This record gives sequence, structure tokens and C-alpha cells, in this order.
Amino acid sequence: MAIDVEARPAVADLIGARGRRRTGQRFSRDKLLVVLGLPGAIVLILFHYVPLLGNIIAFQDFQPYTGITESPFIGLDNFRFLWNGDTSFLRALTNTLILTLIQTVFVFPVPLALALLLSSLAGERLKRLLQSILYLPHFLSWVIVVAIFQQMLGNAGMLNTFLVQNDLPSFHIIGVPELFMTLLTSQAIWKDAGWGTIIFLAAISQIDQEQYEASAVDGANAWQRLWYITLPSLKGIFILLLILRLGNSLSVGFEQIILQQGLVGLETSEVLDTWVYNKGIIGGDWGMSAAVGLVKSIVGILMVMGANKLAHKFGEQGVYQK
Amino acid sequence: MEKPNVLVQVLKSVALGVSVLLVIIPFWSIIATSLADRQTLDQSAGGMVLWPGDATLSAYASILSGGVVTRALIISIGITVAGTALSLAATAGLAYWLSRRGAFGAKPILLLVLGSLLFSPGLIPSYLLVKELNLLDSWWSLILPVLVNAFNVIVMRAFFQELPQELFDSAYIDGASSFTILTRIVLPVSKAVFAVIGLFYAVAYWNAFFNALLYIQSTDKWPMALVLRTFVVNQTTIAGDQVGASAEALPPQLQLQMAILVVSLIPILLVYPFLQRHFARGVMIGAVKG
Amino acid sequence: MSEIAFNRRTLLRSAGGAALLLGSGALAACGPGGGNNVNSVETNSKIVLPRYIPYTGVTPDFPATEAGIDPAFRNYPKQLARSVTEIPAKGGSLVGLSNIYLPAPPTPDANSWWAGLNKRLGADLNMQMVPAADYTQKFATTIAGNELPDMIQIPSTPNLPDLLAKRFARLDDHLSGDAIKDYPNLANIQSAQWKQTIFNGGIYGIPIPRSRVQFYSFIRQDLFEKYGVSPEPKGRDELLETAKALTDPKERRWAFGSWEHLRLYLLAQNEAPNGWHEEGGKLTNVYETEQYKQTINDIADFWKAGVVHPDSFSATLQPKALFNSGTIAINAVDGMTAWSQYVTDNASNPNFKLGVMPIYTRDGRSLAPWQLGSGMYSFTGLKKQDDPNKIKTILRVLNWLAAPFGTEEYTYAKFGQEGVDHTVSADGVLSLTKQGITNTTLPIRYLADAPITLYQPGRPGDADTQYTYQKKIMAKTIANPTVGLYSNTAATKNVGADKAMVDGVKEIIQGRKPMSSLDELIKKWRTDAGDAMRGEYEQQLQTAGTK
Repeated sequence: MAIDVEARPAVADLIGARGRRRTGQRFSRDKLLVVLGLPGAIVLILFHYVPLLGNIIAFQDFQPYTGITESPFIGLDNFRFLWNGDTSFLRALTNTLILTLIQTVFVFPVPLALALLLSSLAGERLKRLLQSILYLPHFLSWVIVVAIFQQMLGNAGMLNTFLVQNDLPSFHIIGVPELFMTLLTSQAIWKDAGWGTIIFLAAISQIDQEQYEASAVDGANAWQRLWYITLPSLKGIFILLLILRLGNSLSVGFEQIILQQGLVGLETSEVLDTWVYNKGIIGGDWGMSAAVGLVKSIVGILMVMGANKLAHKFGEQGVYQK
Repeated sequence: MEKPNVLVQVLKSVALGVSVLLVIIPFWSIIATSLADRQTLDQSAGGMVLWPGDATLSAYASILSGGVVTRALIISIGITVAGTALSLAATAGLAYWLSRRGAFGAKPILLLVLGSLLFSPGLIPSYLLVKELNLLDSWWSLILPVLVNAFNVIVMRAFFQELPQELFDSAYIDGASSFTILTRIVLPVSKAVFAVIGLFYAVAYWNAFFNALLYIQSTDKWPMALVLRTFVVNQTTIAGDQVGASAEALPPQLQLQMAILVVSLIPILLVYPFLQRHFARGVMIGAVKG
Repeated sequence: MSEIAFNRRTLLRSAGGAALLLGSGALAACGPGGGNNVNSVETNSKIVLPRYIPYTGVTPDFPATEAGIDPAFRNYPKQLARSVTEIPAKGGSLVGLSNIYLPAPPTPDANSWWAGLNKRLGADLNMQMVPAADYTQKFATTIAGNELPDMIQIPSTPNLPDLLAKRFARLDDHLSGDAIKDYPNLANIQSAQWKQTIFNGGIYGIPIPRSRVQFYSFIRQDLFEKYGVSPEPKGRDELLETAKALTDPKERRWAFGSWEHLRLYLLAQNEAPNGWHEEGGKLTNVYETEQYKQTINDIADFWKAGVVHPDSFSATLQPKALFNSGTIAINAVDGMTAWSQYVTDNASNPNFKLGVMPIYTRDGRSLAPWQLGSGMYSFTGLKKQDDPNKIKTILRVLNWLAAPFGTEEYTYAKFGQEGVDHTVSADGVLSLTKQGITNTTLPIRYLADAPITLYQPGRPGDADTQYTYQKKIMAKTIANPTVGLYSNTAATKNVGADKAMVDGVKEIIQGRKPMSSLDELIKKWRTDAGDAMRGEYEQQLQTAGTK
């Protein structure tokens, strides 16, 4: 019997497709799928993995005018920041981890909350209008976002001008090291929370309406519907996004931070991306920049693998299967 | 239906109201600043204003003069439309392949896709590749390197996987091929994710300037984002390296920036409502199931 | 290598000239390609600089001086002299790469000015224009791609001497000494600028000249008058008093905007060295001086007194806009070319009155010595060409682009065609038309340019004001002894090290760190980059001393 296993994964699992079927058979079965998917895969490999070979410069004293073939190999010298106890690196690493933690806890879930709030509104028009407004800040570049915060909340901004002109004590928010992480977090929420709702709203729209109708008939209230239908349906995509976010743990808003670094000093504001920028990139140290990139990638892989495993433990799909 | 809880309703309205105000006030200020006359701007100490005074379009006139922006606008629209269409096709095909459990080759390819999210190629190798492929100064150089975004593939794949199994089962029983299942069944119930991923791609194509900066050598092929960048950089970097020539004052830099922002936002604002229709409303999967 | 250098220095001090020959011999032996490829001042000083032959076709109202005062014109010359007699190129096309600060112009098919320029040059000039903020990245990829445009603006970049030797053409045969006579407009550029284009014992580019005065201290004369304070505060205490009188936070007005500008002003006031101080071949960086500490102390005092804009440390602060709006009364240090910009920006503001302020020494007894600029924006390198005639053609084109102020060529390059790109008023003032503003933004001025000239359209008195000011402040000057030397550390490690230093200083000024931590910062900067830079510069200086 020629079972189209591709369309019937449940059956495929039962008969152990991987074990018994030979590669050739699986190929002829799935060739249409492969044909559909291959163009994208080829382009991705060509434009991503081929230039990735260039990361070999992490082991070189690379200069653009000598090129990869002629630049001398210098072993692991570009990675020496890992073990030479450079305090500025350790400080950048610590700040990065703190910021990642804060952002994962406080920034990452906001779009989900906002999406739930929006989707609970009755009027379709109102919903769309609000959504259109909330996603606007995403389109501002960081320079503009930083400038706007400065204009509104800066020491000579709209708020403080008002306070000073009315003989009230002024209110220093920007340029205060203790508030720097809070400032970064609020800016990140302001800029991207609305935009982040889009994926969740799409996921909500895919929830089978029959489930809601059936539960309403059974007398479930709004909370129960949220708890037993909506949230479980969003769990998969939420965990997926979370794992991907964790893979990028060591990247925290480079542009946003570099623009505001001068205000609060390096102690509070130096993160890994700004550190490598200040230490390597602006000085044209290509090799070291590539080395830091590689280290970040490896950490990212470990994070994704760990998080994915954890997800499996809890019976979730994660990003990929075992 | 149970009675809506008043307290919850009030809290909801307040939360949404505040969020909306936090966005609207700065945006109102952006528009007002882009229109304000010189005097009003000066009174605000070179900052942003909440009221434009004697509104003027001079900042817009200064951006649109000479036809460079108009040409770039057409180029950008072309690249965005073509790029988004190609990206969606490539991404959907790839995501569909990877979403079918146990499909031939899916596992290694999935790992490659995932890996490309975590490893980033350097500036120079990417440039050399584009150069070796003879794509320099070609519009393809703005599309092909960013044709497939791994994040989008993974999200789309996740959506495909969430589709109820019965959909495929019934189609299979009817003897449909993979392609038919994709176009006749998966696509219609996946409008939401197509709208979202399409929007992601479109926005990325629309805003991208850096690849154009590296790969496009002739200014008459510049997309809008790069043209607009020259306005933003204008006056910012150095103490005006421009001597006694220009006879007319340029609009203040902040105003130009705001006007640029408005100009570059308009096309996206126009597209958005069309896409929104697809993901603001629940899809009747039941209807498809029949 | 550093050991050899050290020995060489000690030898030099004890035994003089004879040891030098030995020393430089040893040095040359270290280089990869032997003699000619080494970027030592010993080889560099052998090269004969292009002769400086000032252009005489147009006479300014006030002449340029050797010391660096810029020539000034009250009015635009009525009779336009021709500085180039032949069309520079005979067909073909040339490609240039440079940064751009203005919106890119329409291409020749829709730009009569550009088409006209091509006709005058005799070649199709294509430009790859890159927003200035992104230039270094474009430059790096272009170099890596190894298909260079004919003319390239060279930014500060690692291993520059080596890069130039590998990829760019040596121009000494064409330009050294009297050879420059073939390109009279390039001969109009002074030696101070040419010196900075010499690497590996050869001339590697065409300097883009800028004013050696480089900065003015701009003030809002109208605000000074309104609050009855003298526009010439003498010394540190008077300056602070003046600043206090001008400041009123309720009115949203402060004396100073950017702390960085204030720092440069106060450094001059405290008579700090211009970057480095040289004595007997030994260098001291400005950071290592008492004057620097004094300056940081002073800024901290000014900051505490509240006379500096409270958002001064923000990267998004826009001092020019604040100055135009009168939010700050003093733009302590701004590019001298901003004069024109302020005048045009405020043409419709009757209250606005522009002034310039001299810098007095700390005790107020005399004018502080003026810190001279390098006088160069960047230089233009030429791609290696197989055919020396192609180099000659390019140089002729650059010679055309460097045509001096008031010539026919200059007028076309900056103002285009009369009646199309600009209009001429009854009193001879040239004004760009809307079309002219859009069309003439092609950044040819970063391939080759005329020396800076003081001229303000329609305001003949400005020539007098600016020239008088320049003469006054330039009575005493200090130059940076490292201008024209190359330090690889300065182009690489120091960029980050200096930023770390500056960020730390900002915290001291704001009182978040004690003044005593300055020593720590300086020490860190020295180990990270400072000492290496010093070594590289000193090595070159000591060989240069014997020229």
C-alpha cells in the first residue's frame, strides 16, 4: 500500500518511517516537498553559509587589503579575551547577562499580554485601530527613539522644563546610571511591544472558533476560555519565540545602548556588543570581531539546545524535535 | 454569555488607553515638528513641538525636490513587492517541507536554518560573495542575500505544524498531492501567518539601506531608505563641511528627520490595513474541514 | 622592534648623527620590502614636497598667510579668471568614491550641471557616494573586493602605509618638486597639507585642504548685549561670571551646549599642548599634563555652576540647533565654516546677531595660543594604473576640481551655470537656484578642492570680521607635532582606548567619580594605546629631526 506518509505523520511514526524505509524510497515519496523547499534552502545556504566560511578570519590577523588567503594565521590569539582576565570584558559580559535576564522577564512577555488584551476587545474596528497605533513605534530607528525620549524626559526635556518653570523640583531620569537598565527596558517595550503582538494575534486568529463556541455552550467564562483554550493554543509559539530569544542572549540592543553609553559611563552600559565595537570594530580589528561573533554563536547554540531540551521535558515541541 | 465584569473592563480600558496615549503623543509631536515653521521650532529650543504654529511643508519640499526621492520611491516599491513575493514563496516552500514530520532531508535542513540564525557571516565575506556572483550594482543584490529569513521560516513552520491533523488526513483520503494540499488547504487556512510573514519581509525590504550602501554603486539605483539616510546624516557628523555656497537655509535637521520619518512611514501605513484584515479575524478552520 | 627603537633613541641622544645612520639602517632592515616600502620619516623626509606656487589669477581683499590665516573676499570676483586652459581628459570615464553629507544629486541624464561638468572635464565622472557615517565600512569592503575606483577618499584606517603601498599609485614622479607645475591648481595647496600625504617615502594622494584655524568660538552677540556682558571674557573667572549671567534655566537658556566643545575651549585657555607636546624628540600627550587636569577641574566647576546645558552629555544633543534657537549662547568651539551656515540659517531672524569670541589664558592677561588644525580634511588616493598617462589624466581632472576661489572652474563647480543653477544679483551676489541646490551636491569636493576662502554672499563686512578675528587669535599658535606622522595604534587601538578615557572623564565631570580617578584613567589609556602611540611617533620624529 503506497501510503503518503508525508501527509500522515502519525501513521509514519507508527510504522517507523526512519528505520525501515530506505532513503531512496523516502526521497521519491517526498520529492515534491523537496522541490518546493529547495530553492529557499539553496539561497539560504549560499548567502549565509558560504560567507560564513569567512569567519576563518577569527584565527587570522586579517586586513581587508591582504584578504583571507594572504592574512597570517595567529592561532587563538583573537580569542585571548576569554582567558586573559580582561576586566572590561567580564564587566561587559555581566551587564549583558543582567540585561538579557531583565529583558526576557519584563520585555519578552509584554507583546503576549498586549495581544490578549487586544483580542479580548469586542469591536473589530476599534481593535484594528488600536493595533495600528501601537505598532507604529517599531518603525522608528533607535536614533529617533533615543532622541524622542531625550526630548520628552531629558534633563532639559518637555517634562523637566515644565517642572522648572513651575518651580517644582526637576526629575532626572536620563543620564542616571541607576536608572539606565530601567530606561533601556522602557524604551524596548515602547518601541517593539506593539509590533510583537502581530505574531500572537495571528496565532490567536488560527484558534478554531468552534472551541470557543463549544465552551461558551458549556458555560465557561472569559477567564476559563483564556486559560483553557487561548493560552494553551499560544503556548507552542510562545516557547518557540522564547527559545529563539535565548539563542540571542548575548545580543542586547547594540544601537540603543551605544547611543546612550556616553550618558552613564561604561560601568553600567558596556555590554558585549558595545565592548567588541569599542575594542575591535572601530579600531578595524576584524579578526577579534569575528572571534567574539563565533563565541556568541556557540553560546547561542548551547542556549538553544538547552532550552529545547527543557521544552521537550515539559512535553513541548520546541524549535526542533529530538 | 456571562456578564462582563465592570472592574476588569475599566482596567482593560485604562491599560489600553495609556498605551495608546504613550504612542500617540510622541507621534503627534513628530508630525507637528515636521510641519512647524522656523520660529516655532526655534522657540522650542531646537526640540520637538506639540503644535506646528504656521504650518509649512518646506521640509517635505526639500526632501522631494529634484526627483531623486521620487525615483527611489519607485525603486523601493518595486524591490519591496518583488522581494516580498519571492521571499514568501521561498519561505513557504521551505517551511512546508520542514513542517512535515519525517520528510526526506527535513531534519538536517532544519538545523541549517536554525544555525543560520545563530551564526552571522561577516561584512567582507558577504560582499565578496555578492561580487563573485556578479551581483554588484544589481537589484538582485538587495533581494537574494535576504531572500530567506530563518526566523520567518521557523515561525511559519510552527504555524503549519499547529494546523489540525484532520485537514491533512481528509485531503489525503481524497488523494491530493503535496502541492495540492499546500495550495488548496494549507494556504487558505494560513492567511494570517502569510500576512504576518509578508509584513515582516515587506518592512525589512522597505527599511533596508545597508546592503544597498555596500552593493549598489550607481546612485540612480538607490532605494528610498538609502536616499533618506543621506538626509539624516546631513549636518550630523561634522561641523558643516560645507562652505559659503548655499543661498538658502536648509530646514532644521530635526525637522528634516521627522519629515523623512513621515514620508517613509506612509507606504507601510497604506499597506497595513489590507494585511490586518487577515490576522485580526479568526479563520473558520471548521469551514475548511467541511 | 621596540627594543631596537629604544636603543636607537639612546644612541641618538649620545652620539648624534652618526648613530642615526646606523639606527635607521637597522630600522629599514625590519621592514618587509626593504628601503622604499618602509614608512619611516627617514625615507619620507627624502621626498621633495610639491612646490607651493600660490595662484595669482584672483586677488583676495585680504591675503592668505603662511601661518595659516585664510584669504578673504568681500565680494565675489566679477571677472572670472580661467585656471585651466585645456580640457583635462579625452573621453572615457572615471570613477570616484567619497563620502557625502548632502542628499545625492540626480544623475547626469536628469542633471544639467553634472552633464556640464562631464563636458568640462572631458570624461564621464561617476561617483560612488556613501553617507559619511557609513564611509569606513564601504571603504573596507571596496578594498577587500579589490576592484578599486580610480579616485578614492582615504579615511583613517589601520596599516595605512602598507595598504597604500599595495593598492595605490605613488605620485612623486608627477608631483614632487617642480613637477607639480603641470597642475597649477594643485600647486596652490600649501606644504603643510602635502606633508600629510607622504607615506613609504612617496606621495600617495591629493590633500583636501581645510582651514588651519579650523575652529571659531561662536557667540550669540544679541544675547551678550541683552544681558550686558562683554563678548571678550578675559580668563577663567570672567568666563564663568559671563556664563552665569547668560544662563537662565527657566527661560531654557544656558551658556554652553556640548561639554566637548567647552573642553576644547578650556584646553586652549589652560594653554594645554595641541594633542602632543614635543621636546627634544620626546612626546607628552595632552592627557598627561597638568593643564589637562586643570581643564577637567574647570569643566566640573562649570557643570556644577549649572551653566552647561543639562543634556550636554547626550549623543543626540544638537548644539547648532540649540545655538540657532538661543538655548545656548556660546558654541564654544565649532567648525569655522559654520559661520556661513549660521548666517543663512538665521537670515529670517532679525534678532540673531552672530559674534566670535577670542580665547584668553586662564589668568586673563593675554590671548591664549591658538591650537592649529591639520588643515586637511582627508586625501584622495589614486588606484594603481598600468598606464602612467591615465594617472596624468586623473591628475589633470583633479587639478580642474581644485580650481581656486573666484575662477571660472570654481564658479561652475560650486554654483553651476548662471541662469540655471544660480542667479547673480545687481551687486554681484551669486545665489543657487532650487535646481542648483539639488544638482550641485555631487561630492567632488572630497576628491579635490580649493583652499578655504572667507566669503559670505551678500555680507561683505563678514570678510573683515572673520579676517580680523583670525588675525587676532592666530597671533600665537601651537601646532600638533604629530601631524604628518603615522601611528598605527592611533588608527586602531586608540579609537576605543580614547573613548573609554573620555567616557570616564565625563563621569568625573558629573561628579559620579572622584577627580582622583583621573590618574587611573590616564594610566589605563597609556597601557591600552598611549605609550604605543608615543613610541611610534617618537621613532619617526627623531629621524625627522635631522632632515
